[in-house]
Amino acid sequence: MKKSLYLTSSGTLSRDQNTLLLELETGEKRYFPIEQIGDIHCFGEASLNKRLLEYLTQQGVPVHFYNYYEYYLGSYYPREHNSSGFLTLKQAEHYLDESKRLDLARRFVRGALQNLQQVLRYYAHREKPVHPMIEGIAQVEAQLDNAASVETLMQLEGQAREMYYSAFDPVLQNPDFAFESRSRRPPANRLNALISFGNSLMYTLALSEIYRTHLDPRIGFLHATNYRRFSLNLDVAEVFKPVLVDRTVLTLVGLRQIQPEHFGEELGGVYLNDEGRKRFIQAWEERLQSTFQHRKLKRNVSYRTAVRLDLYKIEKHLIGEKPYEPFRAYW
Amino acid sequence: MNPSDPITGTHIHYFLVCPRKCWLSLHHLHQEADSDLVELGRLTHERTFARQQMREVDVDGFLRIDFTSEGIVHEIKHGQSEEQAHRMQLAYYLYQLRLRGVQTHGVLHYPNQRRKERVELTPELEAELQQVIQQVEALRQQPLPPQVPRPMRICRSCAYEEFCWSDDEEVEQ
Repeated sequence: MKKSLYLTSSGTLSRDQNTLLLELETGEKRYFPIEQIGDIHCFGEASLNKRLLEYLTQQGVPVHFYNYYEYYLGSYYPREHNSSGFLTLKQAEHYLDESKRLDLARRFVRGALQNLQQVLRYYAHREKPVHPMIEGIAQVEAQLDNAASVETLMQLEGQAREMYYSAFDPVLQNPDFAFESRSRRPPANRLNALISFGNSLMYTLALSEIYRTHLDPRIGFLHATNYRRFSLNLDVAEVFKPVLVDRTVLTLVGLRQIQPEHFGEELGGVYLNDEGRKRFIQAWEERLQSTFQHRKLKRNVSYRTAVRLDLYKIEKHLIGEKPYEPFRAYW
Repeated sequence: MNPSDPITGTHIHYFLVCPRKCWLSLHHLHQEADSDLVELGRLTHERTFARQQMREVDVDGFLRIDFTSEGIVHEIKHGQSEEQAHRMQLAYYLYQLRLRGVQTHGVLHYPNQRRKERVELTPELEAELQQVIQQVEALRQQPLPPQVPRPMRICRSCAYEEFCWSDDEEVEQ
């Protein structure tokens, strides 16, 4: 299992012989065997050169960059090493054909809505008053079949998300982490800062996994292509955000592992500070590496693998083998 | 998939192991990049017969012969569990070379097992090979990959396992 390398402090990343070398500003040197690295996330001030990029291309390791406020800046997405012209044509066909695109977009939203409900059911079992929100999302889900355009699907998803977020305050019951309303760029409070940060990690996770398949990340179905460099990762992220991002956020706050002191306020927005970011990334990685029993593979697979398995299912949908049924948490 | 893509030795090998794997490979839906077993096989290739001069011989861009020595075709394999498929892969190289006017025989090497086997393109083997080539051509024309009803024993060690068995939805709790 390859790991993600998160650079939270500033330093120089370079190729040293056949391994990765990180030299911190303190002069400390740390080596990372390249075979074990799946992707790199740069939060601090990283310096790197072309020689490193050549090496990362050869090894197929993407790099994701975030700015000081944890916003996603962009990625170094190495030349495709895994491409199938056959599949690329099928992917484009499913975008251009309105009914095929609508079908796939609807599948992503349905998967998202089912997982939203599943997260809330988890808290309902723990005596949290969230039944009305579960029912509300179920009602939105019932309208998906009648949605005649991708825009309508996006709106329905927005409605469901709004109901879902209204469950956060009853679940957490923590005045230090009141949700109020969804705000981004900048996040207006701590809970929103956590959600935004988690979503950024989810988008880059999906992108890194797409890199390891034959899919083209530029052709999304729910999220329109053309306007963004990458959009398929946003589609896939919708399915996994509830189970991966939101559960991580709610658990960190619920267990008081993240506290008000882990945030800073700047330019009218609230952001995680260094310690907060470290705690979040640690919890995020633990979540990705935790496993569940897969019923066809008959072995435990991690959530990170589950993301890639969904990409394979999308490939099978595109080649016409089997309609895409998104990942669904049953627990 | 380009209909004029030539069949490679690997396609012949895959077909005899699992036609589904062959179809996916014919459509460039390769899964080998992340497989530890494939990586082990690659290391066996790299580390054995390293002093041979004629390694990785490329014939017309689609026949990749491990090495040749004194006019004999050699194929290195990591494990011997798919021996019949290995034999046919080598027979395919011999056949393609004969089409180009080279008459020779081959040797299958299993360096990890300290074993080797001589392969001749006998009329019987060639007849068998011809059938396989026809079946691969027919397979290529199929719009969908062949279905495998449930995981097989060989799926366990196959680089395509996660692709083939990614679905998890049919058993509801």
